[in-house]
Amino acid sequence: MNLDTEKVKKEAEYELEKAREIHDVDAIWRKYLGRKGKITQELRELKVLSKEEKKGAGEELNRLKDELEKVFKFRMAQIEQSSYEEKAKKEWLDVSRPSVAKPRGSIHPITKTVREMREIFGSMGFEAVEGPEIEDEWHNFEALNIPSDHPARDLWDTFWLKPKDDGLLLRTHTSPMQARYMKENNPPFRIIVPGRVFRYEATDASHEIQFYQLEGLMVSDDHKISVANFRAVINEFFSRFFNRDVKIRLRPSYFPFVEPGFEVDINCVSCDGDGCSVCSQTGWLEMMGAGMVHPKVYEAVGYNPANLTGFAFGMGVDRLAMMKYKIGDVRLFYSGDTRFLSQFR
Amino acid sequence: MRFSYNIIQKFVSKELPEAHKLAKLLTMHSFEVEEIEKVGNDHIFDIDILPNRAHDSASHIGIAREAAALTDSMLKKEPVAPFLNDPSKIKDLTVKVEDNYLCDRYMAAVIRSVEVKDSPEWLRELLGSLGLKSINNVVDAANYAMLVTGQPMHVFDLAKIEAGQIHVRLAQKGETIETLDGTGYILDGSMLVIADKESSLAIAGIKGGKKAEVSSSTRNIVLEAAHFDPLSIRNTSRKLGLHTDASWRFERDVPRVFASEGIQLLVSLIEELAGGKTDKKTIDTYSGPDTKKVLAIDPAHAGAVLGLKLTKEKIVSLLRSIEFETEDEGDKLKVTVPPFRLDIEREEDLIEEVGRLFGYENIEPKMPVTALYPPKRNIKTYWMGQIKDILSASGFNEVYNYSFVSGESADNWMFDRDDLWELENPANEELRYMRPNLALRMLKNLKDNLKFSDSTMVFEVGEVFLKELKDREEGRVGLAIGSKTISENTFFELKGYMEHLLNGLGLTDILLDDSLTRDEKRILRFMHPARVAQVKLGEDFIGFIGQVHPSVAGAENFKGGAFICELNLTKLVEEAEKEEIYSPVSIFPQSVRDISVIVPKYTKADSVISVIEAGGGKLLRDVDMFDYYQEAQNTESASMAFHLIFQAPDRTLKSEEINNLTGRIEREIKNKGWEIK
Repeated sequence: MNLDTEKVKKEAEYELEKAREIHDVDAIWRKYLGRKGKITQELRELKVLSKEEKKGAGEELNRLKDELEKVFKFRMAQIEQSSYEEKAKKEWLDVSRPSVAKPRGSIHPITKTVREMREIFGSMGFEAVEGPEIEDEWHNFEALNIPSDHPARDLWDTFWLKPKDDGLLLRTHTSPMQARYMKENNPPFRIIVPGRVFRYEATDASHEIQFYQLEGLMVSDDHKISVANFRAVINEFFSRFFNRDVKIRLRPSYFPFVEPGFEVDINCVSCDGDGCSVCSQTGWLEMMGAGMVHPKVYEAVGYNPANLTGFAFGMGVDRLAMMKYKIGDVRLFYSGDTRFLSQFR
Repeated sequence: MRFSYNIIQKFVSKELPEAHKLAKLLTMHSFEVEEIEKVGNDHIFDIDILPNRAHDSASHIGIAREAAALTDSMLKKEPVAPFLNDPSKIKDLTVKVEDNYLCDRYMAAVIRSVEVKDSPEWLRELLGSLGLKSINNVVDAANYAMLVTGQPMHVFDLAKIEAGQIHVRLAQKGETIETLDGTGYILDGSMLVIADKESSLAIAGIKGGKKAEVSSSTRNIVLEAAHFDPLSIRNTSRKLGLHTDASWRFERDVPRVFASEGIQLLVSLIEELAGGKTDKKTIDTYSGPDTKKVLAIDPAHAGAVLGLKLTKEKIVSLLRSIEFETEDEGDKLKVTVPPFRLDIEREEDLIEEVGRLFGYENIEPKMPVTALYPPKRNIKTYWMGQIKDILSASGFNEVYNYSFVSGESADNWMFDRDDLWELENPANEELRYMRPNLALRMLKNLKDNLKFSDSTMVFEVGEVFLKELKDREEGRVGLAIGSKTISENTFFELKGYMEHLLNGLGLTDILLDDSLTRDEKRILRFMHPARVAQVKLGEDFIGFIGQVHPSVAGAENFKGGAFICELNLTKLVEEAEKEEIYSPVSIFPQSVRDISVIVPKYTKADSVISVIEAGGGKLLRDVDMFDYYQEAQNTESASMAFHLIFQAPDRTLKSEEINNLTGRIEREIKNKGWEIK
């Protein structure tokens, strides 16, 4: 055999080192191990040798072949890896660039607040019902024990529709739905009524001419609903809504449609009761009017008041939303400004 | 209303807790003390007297009564010898009340030889801190007595009362009076006046007149303490636009028994400050104290309402502390209501007294126990939630707009103002009418938001108001896209979002009908006439979609493209609630063929698709338009390209079958005179 295996191996390795691309490696492989490759040729020419010479040379050549195959394989893998890396680098993406997808819209913060309130009361079995925004005098006032020509009417600044004699107005609270519901249903029941209400007032950071209220009414015919029950239900609501223990206090107040009547305060979420500008230094925030339903209301809707006890409450939703989301001006809710609105998902 | 801590203390037997502590007690059991101000050596409370307690508690004695009850103390009133009702003893004064209903008690007393001058400093300061101006010692004394007892009183110069005759009568129509501050009023026959033989001396219960004004030359004075019908005072006050401290109290009804207390205090005070003597005889037209009201309270019922176990003894002690008398009656209690508590009418009112004095804070919260019926699902709320979620996920921002619009905007949108609900007392001219649709205000949202954005998408769910509506109002869903430039693509985007919304509610049978009758066109006249359609589900009209009429947009100063869709919420909810029926999906493969058709311009895609579907039959599962092409110069025709998707539910379609079907389709197309590319 006239092949110096050591020399050939070194030659091949040297050439492989210089190879940069896969096709270079292929070419070198063909040169040595291909059909017309050096080593393959040598292997073929072994025919003419004697049996002993054949065996020795054959073993040597096959050993060289195996070693070279290994080297080729390794080098091939190397080149594939680095060529892949180079290719990948060319295709690099800056992942921090802005996306093309259209941004999500948003749900209004009052919608979110009402949803949450509905969920909390719903989990206590309160059914949600809704009523009309244009109301008549009977449902908005008289059925609630607020007769005309009574100073109590002054408590609500009403928007009247023309002509005034028709007695139509924009509801000043969601309480008229209490009367509507009770005319169609018998106790026991518990309902909440979220809705838009209207008051003729000067607007400022905490007052608007239209805003949202959530009314609640729970009546039973077995003489069992009490002030103690109201305290428990409302405690539960506030703790869940603000997601912490909230101190509540009940103090005497007056509304014609409840007796006893109370005002419910919670300890100021801003200063935790120490006193600050949010709570005018009192440490308490007024949240809602409430009370035990007045027998005159039961009579107005056609119930027999005997054995009926129930509580009712009405709270301002805008106020709650402002506290929850730390919004300083109620007028933002009705501004239609998407820079403000898009912050709420 | 302002109260002096020191004066309150004067009427309470035990020493009161310090001002802030007392304020807390009052807030938690009686009325909210909104503010405490230190003035000199006194504290001035600003108390929010509840409207139904103004009659008894808008006075220092009233507050003192509450304070005494809350501090286990007693009301302390100076014992005064009662005046004798003896009109004959007052020789130079007679009183004739002509309407015993409107004025059912008139007390008059005479003090002679008074010296009218400035009030002493303590009185001037006190009145000042309680918000009243000092006039002179006599008038100030009357105001002070009102603040203490709750009885408004008036003082006349006896010499200026013609013939010494006081007539309490209705005014004559057109009768005039000049009040103390020099203002003139024209009265009518519904208004009560205090008059002498000749003319009126005062608008009863509201304001005194100049005629019998007390001045530095006055020597003999007449004091008046009366009870007037609250409704009459309220009406007169409103008609004249005249509201005073006196009218405020009379409107809320002053207990008749306060007249004697008031006059007694006033007499002793005037004697002290201005000298003079009275002989303790009065004229009093009162027919007698009303019989006291007696009610029953059942401790078990009271306990049930409050959520407490209450003993009879506890109730007795609480009620007695505010001067209610009690008597056992079997299991219940008979309660006699003091004459100054006009607000107590039934057992519930007694329960409130018991509850508030006991303290609502002392009631342990207890969850109600009741049957576990789950709340009924509110269908409208559920679907409204779905609608809002779908639209916000699509990229729309939810807005809440004012329910009001201006007359000018209504005109710009070509509404007839007579069709709209108008307010008697709008907040201002911009907010005079109730909104007839959501689009009007949504256009403003688009305008505002385009100031800082190239395009904007908003939606609203809310009520609109039209006189013609059976229920006066109607719920709507509105979606709007606004962009700085007008592009017809925006319409198709909006159409896409609308379809996405309706599909999300399970509604697929959507039709846009742009062939409108004259009436329908008139109803949608605020939209671009060639870019508007009615939205229908099957045959049902549920709303409209299109571009806002350029002249409307122009009138509203909107520049750019405004595309709006507005749908009837109730109809959407009704349709969405219907059961969904699913068709089974075929497991066999679809075959797609493309076809390109040339049609005359203004041919609608809808009609080409109908023709294709007619030819294709049931096995043509879907026709999908993927291209629409119209050369700018070519005014005659346009070309449309469609993917035709064939699929059978039960087998794989063979090419021959499909070729048959495409052949049929081509024939149908050629029959219409259209060309196939």
